[in-house]
Amino acid sequence: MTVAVLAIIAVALLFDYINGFHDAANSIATVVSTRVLTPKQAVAWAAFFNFAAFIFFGTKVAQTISQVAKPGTFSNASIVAALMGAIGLDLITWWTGLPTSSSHALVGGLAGAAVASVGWSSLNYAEYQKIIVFIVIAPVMGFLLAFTFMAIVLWIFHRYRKVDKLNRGFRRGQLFSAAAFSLGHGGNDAQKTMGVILTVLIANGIVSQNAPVPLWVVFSAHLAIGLGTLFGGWRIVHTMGSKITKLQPVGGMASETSAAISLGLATFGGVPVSTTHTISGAIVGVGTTQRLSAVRWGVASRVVWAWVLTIPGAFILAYAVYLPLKGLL
Amino acid sequence: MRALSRRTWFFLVIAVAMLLLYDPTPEAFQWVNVMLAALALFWFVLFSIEDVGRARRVRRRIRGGPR
Repeated sequence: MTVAVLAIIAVALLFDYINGFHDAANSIATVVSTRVLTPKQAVAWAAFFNFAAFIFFGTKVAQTISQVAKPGTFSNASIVAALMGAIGLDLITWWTGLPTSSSHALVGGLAGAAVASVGWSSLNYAEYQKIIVFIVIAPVMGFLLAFTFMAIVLWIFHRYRKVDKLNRGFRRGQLFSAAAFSLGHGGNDAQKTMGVILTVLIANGIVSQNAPVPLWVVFSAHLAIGLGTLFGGWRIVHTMGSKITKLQPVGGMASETSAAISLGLATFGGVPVSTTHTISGAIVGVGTTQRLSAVRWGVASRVVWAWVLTIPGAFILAYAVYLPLKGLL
Repeated sequence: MRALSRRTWFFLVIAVAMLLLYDPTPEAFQWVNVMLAALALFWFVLFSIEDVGRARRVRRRIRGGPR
C-alpha cells in the first residue's frame, strides 16, 4: 500500500469520525433530555452500539457506494476530490445552518469526481436512482412509523391513570430504542466510509472489483464512528439535552424505534440513507399526533431545501476540486 | 371538502407521493412504497371519518338540533 492510499484511507476515516462526532446527538439527545442516562453514560451507550453494528449488518451499503460509478472510473485524485467535495459542503452548510446529510454529500461528491474525471457515462444510474428515491422515502417511512407507533400507544394507554409508572416503563424502553437507533446509525453510516475505502482499494488494484469488504476495513470504519460518537457526542448532547425540555419518554421511544426500523430496512437493502433526515421525519411524526401546527414547519422546509441542494452542491465542489488535483495525484 | 383538516390532507399528499415514486423506485423496493402509501391512506380515511363527524356535530349544534 502506498503512502497516498494510506493518506486517502485516513481522510475517509476522519470523515467517518466526524460523522459520529456530529450525529451522536441524534441518537442520545432524547435519553439525556428525559434523564434516563447522564450525558456521559448516554455517549458511552451510543458509542458502543455504533461500534457493535458491524456484528448485525452486512456490507451491502458499502457495495452500493463502491458501485456508484462504473469500474475503472475512480483514481486517487478523484476519490480525494469526492471526499473534499463532501467535507467542504458539510462545512459550508454547517456554517449557514442548513441541516444537510453527510451521506448525500458523499454520494454527490463521488458523482462530481466521476463526471470530472471520465464523464457522465461513468455514472451507474441504477444505483443513483435507488439513492435519490430513498432521500424521500426514508424520512417518510420514519414519519409514518413514528406516527403509527404513537397513535397505538396513545390508544392503548389513554385510560391509564398512573402516568408516573407509565413514564418509568417508557424510560426503560428508551434505553433499547436508543441502542437500536445507534445500531442503525453505525450500520448505515460506517458502511459509507467502508464503500469509499473499498473504492480506493479497487482503484489501486489492492482488491478486485467484486471482492467483499476486507474485515479490517469493516472494523476500522466502525471503530472510527464509535470513537467520533464517544469524543464528539459529549459536547453536543450536553447542549441538546438541556435545550429539549418538553420531550416525553414515549415520544423519544417512538421516534427512535421508528427511525431504527427505517434505517435497518434500508441497510439490509443496501441503500445509503440519511440518519439525520430519518430521525427528523420520525420526530415530525410524533409531533403530528398532537396536531399539525405542533411541528415547526420552518425547520421542515429547510430540510427539504437541504434534500434539493446537497447532492448538486457536493457534485459541483468535487468537480471543481478534481481539476487542479488531476495533475498532482 | 372544507370539513377535512390540514392533517388529513397531509396524509393524502404522502400517499400520493409514495404512489408517484412507485415507478422510479427499483423493483426490489417497490413494496416499501405500497406499504407506506397504504399506511398513509389508512390514516387519511380514519381522520376523514373523524373530521366529517366533527363537522356534522358542529353544524347540528349551530342549528340548535339535538346533540
